[in-house]
Order: sequence, then C-alpha cells, then structure tokens
Amino acid sequence: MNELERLDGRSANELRNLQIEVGVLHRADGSARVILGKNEVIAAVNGPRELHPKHMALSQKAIVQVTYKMLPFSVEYRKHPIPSRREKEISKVLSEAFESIILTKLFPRSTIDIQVQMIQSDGGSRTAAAIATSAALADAGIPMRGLIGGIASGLYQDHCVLDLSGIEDNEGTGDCPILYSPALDEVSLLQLDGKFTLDQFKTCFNMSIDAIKKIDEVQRAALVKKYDVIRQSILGEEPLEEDDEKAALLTVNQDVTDADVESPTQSEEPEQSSEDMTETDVTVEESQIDEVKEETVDIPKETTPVEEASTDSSSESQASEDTVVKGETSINKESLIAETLDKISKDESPKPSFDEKYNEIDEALKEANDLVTKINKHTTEPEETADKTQSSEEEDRDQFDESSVKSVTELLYEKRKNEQVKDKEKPKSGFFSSKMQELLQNNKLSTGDLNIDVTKEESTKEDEKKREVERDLEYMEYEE
Amino acid sequence: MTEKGIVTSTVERNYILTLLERGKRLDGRGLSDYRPIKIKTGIVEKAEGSALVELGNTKVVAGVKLSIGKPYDDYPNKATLIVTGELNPTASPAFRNGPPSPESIELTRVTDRIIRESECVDLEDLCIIEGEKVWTIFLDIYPLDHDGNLFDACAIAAFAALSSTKVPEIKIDEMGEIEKLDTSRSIKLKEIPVSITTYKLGDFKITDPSYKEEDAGDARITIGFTEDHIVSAQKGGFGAFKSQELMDIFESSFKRSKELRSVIKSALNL
Repeated sequence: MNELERLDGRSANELRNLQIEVGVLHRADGSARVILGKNEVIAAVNGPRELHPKHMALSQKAIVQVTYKMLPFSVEYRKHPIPSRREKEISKVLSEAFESIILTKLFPRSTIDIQVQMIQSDGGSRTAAAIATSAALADAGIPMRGLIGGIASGLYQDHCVLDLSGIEDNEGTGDCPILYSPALDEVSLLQLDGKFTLDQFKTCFNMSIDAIKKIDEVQRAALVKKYDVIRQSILGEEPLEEDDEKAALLTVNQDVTDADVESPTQSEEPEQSSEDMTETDVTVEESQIDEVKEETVDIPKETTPVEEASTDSSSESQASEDTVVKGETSINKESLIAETLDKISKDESPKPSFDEKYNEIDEALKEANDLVTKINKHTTEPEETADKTQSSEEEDRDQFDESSVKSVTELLYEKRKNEQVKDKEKPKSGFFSSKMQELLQNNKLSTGDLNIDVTKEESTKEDEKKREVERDLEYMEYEE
Repeated sequence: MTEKGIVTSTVERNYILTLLERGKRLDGRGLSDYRPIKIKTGIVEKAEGSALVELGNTKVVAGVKLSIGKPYDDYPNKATLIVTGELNPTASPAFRNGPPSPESIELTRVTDRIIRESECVDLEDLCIIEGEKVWTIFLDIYPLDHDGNLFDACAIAAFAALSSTKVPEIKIDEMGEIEKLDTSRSIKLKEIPVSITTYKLGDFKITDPSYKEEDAGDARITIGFTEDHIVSAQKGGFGAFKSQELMDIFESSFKRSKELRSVIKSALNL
C-alpha cells in the first residue's frame, strides 16, 4: 500500500479547521455558524411554533423540519435554487436524526423549523450542517437529550481517512458521513457509498466516533463562550465585577480547554491529530486561553502592582492589609467562588438551566457590588482604613441582602443609574462620589480584598482592549 | 418507511415486542428470516428490461428503457444510469399523487446508490462512441403493494430488471449515423448487489420487516453489499442506534447478504 498523501498535507485522522460560533443571527430563536475547512454553514432555528399546514401537525409531539439548502454560489457551478433531490434527501435524514434527540413530546401540535444554508460547500457539508444544527438547537434552548456531532470519513488512495475535502471526496472510492451523540452513544445518521470492506468500514467508523467526541467539546466550548460574552456584556461596564465573574468563568473555561486540548488527544492519538486538535481548539478559544494565562499570572502577585499604582501609600496600605482582618470577607468570597465553580464544572449538561445561570449571575453581581463599593472607598484614602468599625460592614451586608431580592435587570438598571450619578459627581470628588468619601471619612471599611481587586482592574482593562481587537480581527477574517 | 395516517397502536407494538421476546414475529418468522422471494423477469414486452418482485405481500415492478445519449464529461467512456421511482397510492393509501415526497426520493436515491456504487452493470461496455454517444439507462421503479421492506424489494427489482435487459446491437455507418439492429445482447453484469434492511424495535433487531413492524419500529438501517464490499448504507427512522449495535448489524447483515445473494442468483438463473 502506498503512503498516504493528502492534498492539504493532513494525516489520515486529522480534522480540517473547525470553528463554531453560536448566536450569530439576530432574528432567529437560535443560530450557529460552522466553518469546517472550506465549508461554511449557517443554521437558524425557529420554534417550537405553530405548524402550517395544520394537517401535518401531530397530536402527540412536535415535528422537526430541517431544510438543507445549498446556496447557488456555494459550489463550483451555479446550483439552481430549486431544491434538488439530494437536498431533499439530506433534509429528510437530518430531520429524522434530530427528531431522535429532541424532546418533541414536550411540544405537541407544533413544529421546530431549522433552516440550514450552505454558504460554501466543500466535502462533508451535511456533517457540517449537522454540527451547526445541533449548536443552533442548543442555542435556541430546545430541550434535547444531548448534542449531535458529525463527520465524514472515507477511502482515499486506499486509505481510511477522516474528513474528506471536496476533491478527496470526488477522487476517493468511498464516503461515509456519520452523526453521533457522544453523550448517549447513539448513531443518529449513517450514510455510506463507495466500496468498503468490513474492516475498512470499522476503521472509518471508529475514526469518526473519536473525532466526533472532539467536535462535541468544541461545540460545548462554543456554547459556553456565548454565555461568557453575555456575562461580560452584563457586567462589562464595571470591570471589577466583571473580573470576579470572569475569574470564575475562566477557570471553568480552563477546565474545558484542558479537557479539549490535553486529555483526549494526548492519550488517544499519538502524533498528528493531537497537533491538529490543539490547533482547532486554539482557534476557537484563543481569546479565552489568553485570558486564562494572564489571570493565572496575575493572581499570585496580588500586591506588587498596587505598590506601583499607589506609590504614596503603598507601605501603609500593605501594612494595613497585613494587620486588618482580612479573613472573613476574603474567605467568604473565595468559598463562594469555589462553590459556584464546583457547580459549573460538575455540571456536564451542555447548557446550564436558566435558573442556575441567573442565580450565578445574581450572586456574582452581589459580590462584585460589595467589592466595588469597598474598593472605591479605600483607594481614595487607604491610610484611613487602618481603624475601621464593624458597623459599616453590617450596613453593607444589609444593603446587599436587599439587593439580593432584586432581579438581574433591576440590578443592572440600578448599577447604570449609580454610574450616571458617579459620572456627574466626578468633577467634584476627582474620582469617587461624595457619598463614598463620607463613608471613607467615617472609617467604616475593611481593606478586605482591596489589593487583589485593584490589580485585577488593571489587567481587565487590558484584557478588554485585547478582546476587542481580537473580535475585530475575527470579524474581519469572517468578512474576507 | 413510517407513514403518517396509518398508526400502529401501543397495544399492537407491545404485542409485537412480546412476540419478539419469544423469538417470534407476527407472521411466525424468526427475527432474521426473510419472506419468500419471487422474481419474474421480462414481464413488459415494450421495455428493454423488466421485473416483478414479490417479497411476501410486497410487490415492486421495475422497468428499463434505453436510449442513446451523451456521456458525462468526467466519464466519457461510460454509459449513463438514471434511477427514478414513485410511491403511488396503488401501493398504500398513505402515499399521495403529486410531487415526489421525501420518502420516495429517499427510496429511489438509496436504490440508485446500491446499483451505482456496486458497479453491477459494466457501463463501459455500453459506450458507443467515446465522449459522444453512449447508452442511457433509465431504470424506473414502482412499488405496487406495500407490506414493508420496500428498500430491499426495490433493490432486488432494480437488479432483476437490469439483468434481463436486452441491448439492441447497433451499426455505425460512414456518416456516423447510428442504426439499431433487430438483434440484441444481454447487458454485462459484474456483481450481484444485495440490500439488507434491519429495523430496531425496542432492543430487538429484525430483518425484512413487514408493514406493521416498520410502523412500530424505531430506526432503520439499509446496507448494500457486493460479494466482498459494503457499497451503500442509509440510516432512517426517528430513533437511533448504539454504536455497538450498528457494528453487530453490519456484521450479521454481511453474512445474511451471502444467503440472499444465492437466492437471487438461483431465481435469475445467473
């Protein structure tokens, strides 16, 4: 048998570049964009919603209608916009595949419509479409038993190879797309054409299953990332808050990326695919990984940047940090973060429930608010913090108890309002509101996590800028 | 091929499952037994090739028409093969007239795939002038009576019709005109493709399902085999297979295909 030489230099079980992004469409209930090599596909989910024509409705369950469509300019020759027989067949098998995983009985008499459009097609388009559909369904919050990933494998130059490109598909002697749910160990679609021996089929099948397990992780990461962005947009205007939030979330992401990058690749595939998968993962989560690194660097040297920042009062503030009761508040905070982290990292479901999400955000908001007020009080005149009273803390706590009852939106609204007030008062007090200064003058504060958070504030600003640049770059690439 | 409108009740499904637990099926067969297969070829005089296949109560008729056409650009020396078909109300009240339903498209495309990918017909033998004139094979499949397992019945009918096809001898004169002669020859066959359909019903796997069993079933897989190779596969139905289940089905179907092939071979005197 000849040595395998793939056109793009990949090894037999190496995936093409895979990028998944969810929530890309504004109007649809859920959406996802998937890039797999030269394939680009956008899936839009609408529903569950009323079904027309009504005679198609089922009294027991919802129907799932996937419409797979290749845009006329997506292939070498113009494809006539009228649905071809191939498109109709793929639509049918995809519908059936996803019906096997969606909890359709929750929505009797209704329909879940999924429109999948191939912007560009280059081999393995139906599996790319399935990856997008699955992510879009999760994004739309459709209850599912698990996620579906898909990949094609086949025969090229008498070798079993993974993820055939368009040319390889044409020149190859076999093609076998598979949709598989790693969480359930269920094959929801298998198509095959070509000439496989039983052994070749088994090799291809197992290769696909292994690859889909990795794709599944990328899908999950993409879904997590969406919530990361939401969190940042909610908490973005208050860097400190965001920072705490992010610290929590990033560690989660770190777990995910660790799992992505290291465990499956190093243990299972010895050489090539590990490199490949690392690359793909990195492309998906590059920004997150960067953040993680910086975060982990920053946290240990809590005190140093403060020395630089507040040169005048550095010695005193440090002294105060040592002497003042640091214990209670910080431990509480850490344990809280640890708890939420545990919750999140233990949660294996692709998409945490609404309640959990909101609770987490709520908690984080409270914490962050707490810290912000404290820090604001301190950074102006840290010298005075040395002697503090217990009563202020109690007052603070009371405030937070009140706010804990409020919903996230209310909190946001209040926050914005406060900021506006703050902005107005800026000229007077330089940086902080007069109210804060009053509190500070009364020496009602503990230094608590002051130093940590100041350093974090700086790093977050940098992060923010970096992230913006990255986003712009990504967008530009996409535009190209 | 679960059709809406004809519903198998839960009681019936449970009955089928209870029977399966005892190793039996509604018509007394074993879990992997096929119904008796009858093949008649040459039933339509006007067609170059034709066949009527009965698989239990399931009946499918297939016909071949030949005409002279242009080859595809990428295969200048190969005849072209076009497989189509329709699901008409003749076969089942659940089928409707009008534009082809997704079910009929799937059925004919899967049949097309097994015939094409198995390379059972020597298409190069049907080339007349390379790059210019080749035979075009129109293979049309019409189910007449639907009692389950249309996929396998259609595959058998398609192959039987092809195997009975008579290609007119031709003469090319000096002007390059093609003249059909009265004599004819058989089409050259290279393989005997066999399709095996397995349904998953609860935890059971049954081959050659009847209509009721299909309707009660969860998921379907149709696999096409030649002597040594897997040439096509299509999963259908609203359920899913465990990966190990699929492996087992591929292996057992491969064995089963050899038995079925010998049945088809003897029925067609090949």
